[in-house]
Amino acid sequence: MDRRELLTLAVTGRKQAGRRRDPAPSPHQKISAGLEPYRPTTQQPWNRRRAAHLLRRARLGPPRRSEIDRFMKLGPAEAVAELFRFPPSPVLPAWADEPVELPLDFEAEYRMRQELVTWWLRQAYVDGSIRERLVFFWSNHFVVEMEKVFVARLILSINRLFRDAAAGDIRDLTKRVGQNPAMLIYLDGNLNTKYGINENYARELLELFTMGRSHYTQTDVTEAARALTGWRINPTLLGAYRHPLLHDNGQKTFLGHTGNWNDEDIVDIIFGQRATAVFLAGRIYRHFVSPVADEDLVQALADRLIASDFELEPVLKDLLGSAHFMADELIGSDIKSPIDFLLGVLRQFHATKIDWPFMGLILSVLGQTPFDPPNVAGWPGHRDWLSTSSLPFRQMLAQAVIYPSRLFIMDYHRFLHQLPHPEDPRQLVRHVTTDFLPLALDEQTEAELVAILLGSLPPNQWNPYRPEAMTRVRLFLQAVMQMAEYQLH
Amino acid sequence: MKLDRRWFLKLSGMATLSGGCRPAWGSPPPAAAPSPVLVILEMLGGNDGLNTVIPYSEATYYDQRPTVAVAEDEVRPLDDRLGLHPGLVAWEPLWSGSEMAVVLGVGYPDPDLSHFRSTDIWRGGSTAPVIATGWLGRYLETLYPDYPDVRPEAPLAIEVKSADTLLLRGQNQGMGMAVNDPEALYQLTSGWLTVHQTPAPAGRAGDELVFVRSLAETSSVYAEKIYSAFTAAVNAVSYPATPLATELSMVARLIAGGLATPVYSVLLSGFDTHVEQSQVHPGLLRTVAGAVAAFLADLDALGIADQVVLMTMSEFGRRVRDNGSGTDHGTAAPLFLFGRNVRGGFCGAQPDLRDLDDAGNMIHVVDFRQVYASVLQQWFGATPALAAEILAGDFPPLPLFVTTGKKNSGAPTRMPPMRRQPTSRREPADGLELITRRHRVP
Repeated sequence: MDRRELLTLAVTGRKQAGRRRDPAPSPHQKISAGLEPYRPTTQQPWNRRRAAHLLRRARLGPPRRSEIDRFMKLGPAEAVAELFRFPPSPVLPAWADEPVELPLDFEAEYRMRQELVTWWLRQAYVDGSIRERLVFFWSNHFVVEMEKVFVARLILSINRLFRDAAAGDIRDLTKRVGQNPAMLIYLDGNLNTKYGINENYARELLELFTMGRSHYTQTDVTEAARALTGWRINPTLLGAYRHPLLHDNGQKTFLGHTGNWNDEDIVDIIFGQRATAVFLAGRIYRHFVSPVADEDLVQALADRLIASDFELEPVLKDLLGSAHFMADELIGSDIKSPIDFLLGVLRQFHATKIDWPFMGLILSVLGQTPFDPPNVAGWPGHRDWLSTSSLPFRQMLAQAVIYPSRLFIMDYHRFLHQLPHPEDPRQLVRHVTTDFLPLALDEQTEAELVAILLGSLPPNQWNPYRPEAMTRVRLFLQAVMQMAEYQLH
Repeated sequence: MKLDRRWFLKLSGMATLSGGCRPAWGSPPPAAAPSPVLVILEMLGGNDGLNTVIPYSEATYYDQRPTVAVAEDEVRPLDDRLGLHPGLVAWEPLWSGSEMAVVLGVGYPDPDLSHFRSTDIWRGGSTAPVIATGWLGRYLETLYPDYPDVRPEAPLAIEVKSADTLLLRGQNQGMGMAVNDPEALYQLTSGWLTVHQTPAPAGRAGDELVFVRSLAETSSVYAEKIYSAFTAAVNAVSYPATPLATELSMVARLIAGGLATPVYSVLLSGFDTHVEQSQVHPGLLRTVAGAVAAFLADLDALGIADQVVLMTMSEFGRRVRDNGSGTDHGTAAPLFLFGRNVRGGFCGAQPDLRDLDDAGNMIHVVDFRQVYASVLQQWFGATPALAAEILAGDFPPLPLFVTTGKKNSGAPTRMPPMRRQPTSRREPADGLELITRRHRVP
C-alpha cells in the first residue's frame, strides 16, 4: 500500500475524489521492476545519477565528485560489491575496555561521551563502505539512548556489536543485543527476575526488534519476559551473565511452543516465524529504498532473508543491485537525515580543519543527537527529519558553512580542481548541481543560478581563480543548498 | 549538559541579537482574537492514572501496589473516595475554583499496550487498523480545505516541539507547524537565496520536493507573524523553571499577543515508569501541575482565560499490580481539562479494581472519543454530524463545558485568509558569525 492509498484510507472514510487543487495528484505507480539484477539500458543507463543514488543510500553522507566518478567506472555490479569490502576495524578510543568504576567520575564520563561522538562521526566520514551505514541502521533498530544508559563505554559496546555484525547474521545479533549491558540497562532487562517480572524488554523485542505488533498476544509478552529473567550486569558494567537463582526455570508457552525456554530459545522461536522475516525486510526496505512500502517486494526480500538463514549481506547486495532499487522514480525519493546532510556538506565542500565536537552539537540542533534517539522506536526519519523548526536551521547552515569558520574550512582550490571546466560558468553550474542534487533542473533554474554565480560580471569575464570569484561561488553554493532539491536523499 | 536547540542558540549568540533584529511593526498588535483555543498537553510514556487520581479509600489499591502505592495520609482528597497525588497539590485551587474537570476511566475497547500504537490511537482519534491522520488535523482540514494554497492569517496549529506529530496531520499534509522558539524561527528564515523552482516531476521524488517546498514556505510566511505576537505580550506571572512551563509560557504569550491560532500542543515524556516509580513519578507530576497552574494563572492575569482550554492526554495508564519497582503498561486512566469554561468536577467513573481484564488491567468507562466529541462540539462549536465524521462514529459527548460565559454558538470560527504582504526586508543573518562567535568562548 502506498502513501496515497494510506491517506485515502484515512479514518473518516472520505474519498480523495472531488477534493481540490493539485492538477494531477496521480497515485504512485507501482514500480514494476523487482529484485532481478539491474542491467543498464538506453532508457536506464548506468550514469552519474545512478552511481550517486547508490552511494547516497548505501553510505552515510552523499559522495564527493571523485567518488561518483570512481563508481561510474566500476559499473553497477562491481560498485555494489565494492561497498561490502570493509576497511579494517577502526581503532577504538583508549578507554573502550577500561572497567567502569563506581561511583562514576561525571567529568570523565562527559568527556568520553563527546569523544565517542567525535570518534564515530569521523569513522562514518572516512569509511568508503556500507559498514557505518549499517551501524547506523542497527543502532536505530536495536535502540538504546545515551540519556538513560549514560556510560559512553556501554554505548560503545553495543556500537561495536553493530559493527561486528554489520551485514552478518541477524539472529545472532539479536541474541547478543539482548545480553548486552547497554540494552539490559536501557530496557530494564537487568531488573527482570523470577521474583518480579518486568515486561519492558520482552515487549520491545517483539514489537520493535523482530516481529511487529499484532503477531503475538499479551500472554506471549509475559511468557517471553519469564524466559528472559535472570540477566545481570558484571560489576565492571562491561559484561553480563545469566544468574541461575534469578532465572525462571519453569515451563513457558511462547507462540505455541512449550518448554523451559531461556532468552536464546525465545530468539530462535521468534526467527522461526515468517512474520519476523517480513518485519525485518520491511525495515530494510524502508531504510535503504523508500518509506512508501511495496508489499510484494518486501515479501520477496523476506523470502531471501529466510533462504540466507538471516545472513544480511547477500540479501542487501541483491536489493542494492536490483532493477527495483535503480528505478528512476526512487532516485531522490527520500529526505536526508541530519547526518547525511552534514557529512555530505563536508565531502562536497572538501572540508579541512573540521571541528568534530561542534558537528556533534549541530546534529543535536538538527534533531539527531548522536546516540540519543527520542525513544525506543528510534528516529522515525524520512519526512519526520524536517519540520518548520528544523528546515530553517538547515537553511541557515547553508548560509554559515560557505564561509571559513570553526566548523570547517572549505578547500576552495581542491573544489575547483575537481570540476572539469570551472572556467565556464554554465558548466560549473551544471556539474555542481548534478553532483549535489538528485533531480534535474530546468533551464530557467540553471540560468538563475548562473546569474547568481556571475553577479554583475559578463560571462566572458568569469575567472574562477580570481580572488573575488570565491565569494560568487560561495553565494552560488548557498543558493544550491537552499533549494528544496538539496534536502532529497 | 543537554545540548538542545536553546543551548545552541545561546552558544551561537543568536539569543542576544533580539534587540537589533526586532522587526519594526507598523501598527500595534490587534486585540486578542476571541476565538476558542485548545491546548493539548501530552504525557508521553503512559501516565500511571492510578497514582494520579488515587482511590485511597480502597484496600485493593494498597493490596495490589505494595511498592508504589501512595500512603493514605499523603493523598490530597478530592472527595471521600478519590484524591490527588501529593505532587499535584498545585491543582487544588483549580479544583476548588471549578476550573478543573477530572474525567475518570478514559480508554478505548481492545486496548493496545504498545506505546506507539496507543499513541497513534490517541493522536489519531481512531482505532482503525491504519491511522494516517490526526483528529485535530482532520478537523482543521475540514475548516480549511484549501490549506496550504490559501493560508489563514495565522498558523492553524502550533506544536511546541521540533517535529510534527500525527495529531495535526490531515489527509493531504500536516496542518500545523513545529515551533519551539519564535525568535530562532524568525532569525533563521532571513536571507534565504531563492531561485526559480523547477516544476516537480510526477512520482515519489516530486512528492518529496513539494513537501519540502511547502514546509519552507510555511516557515517563512509565518515566522514574522509568530515572532510579532510573541514580542507583543509578556507573561504576567512567573513560571517554574522547567522546559514544559517555558513552553506553556510561550503559548500564553502567543495567544495574548494576538496570534489567532486555535490549537497548540506541548508534551512531557518520561512517564514510562517500569522501574523506580516512586522516585520518578512524583517529580513528573509536580512538573505538570506547576506548569499548568502557572499557565492558568497567567491566562487569567492576561485577560484571556475565557478563550483557552487545556486538556491532558496520555497513551495509557498502567497495570494495577506493581512489578516490585514500577508498573508495566496498562489501560484506562483519568484525563484532565482546565479553564474557566470547563465544568469543574468529576466526570465518568472510577474503574472497578476487582474487575480486571486478562492482563490485570482496568476496564475503561469513558471512550476517549467522547471527550474529543465534547471538545469539538462544545468548545469549537462543531455540529454533532461533523464531530461524528471526524471521529468516524457517534460518541456521546460529556458535559465538560459550562454553558454560561462566552460560548460558541453553532458555526466554528474561521480565520480570514492571510493577506500577502511583501515580506519585510530583513538583512541576512550572518550564519558564520552566529555560529562561531560564542563558540570561541570556552
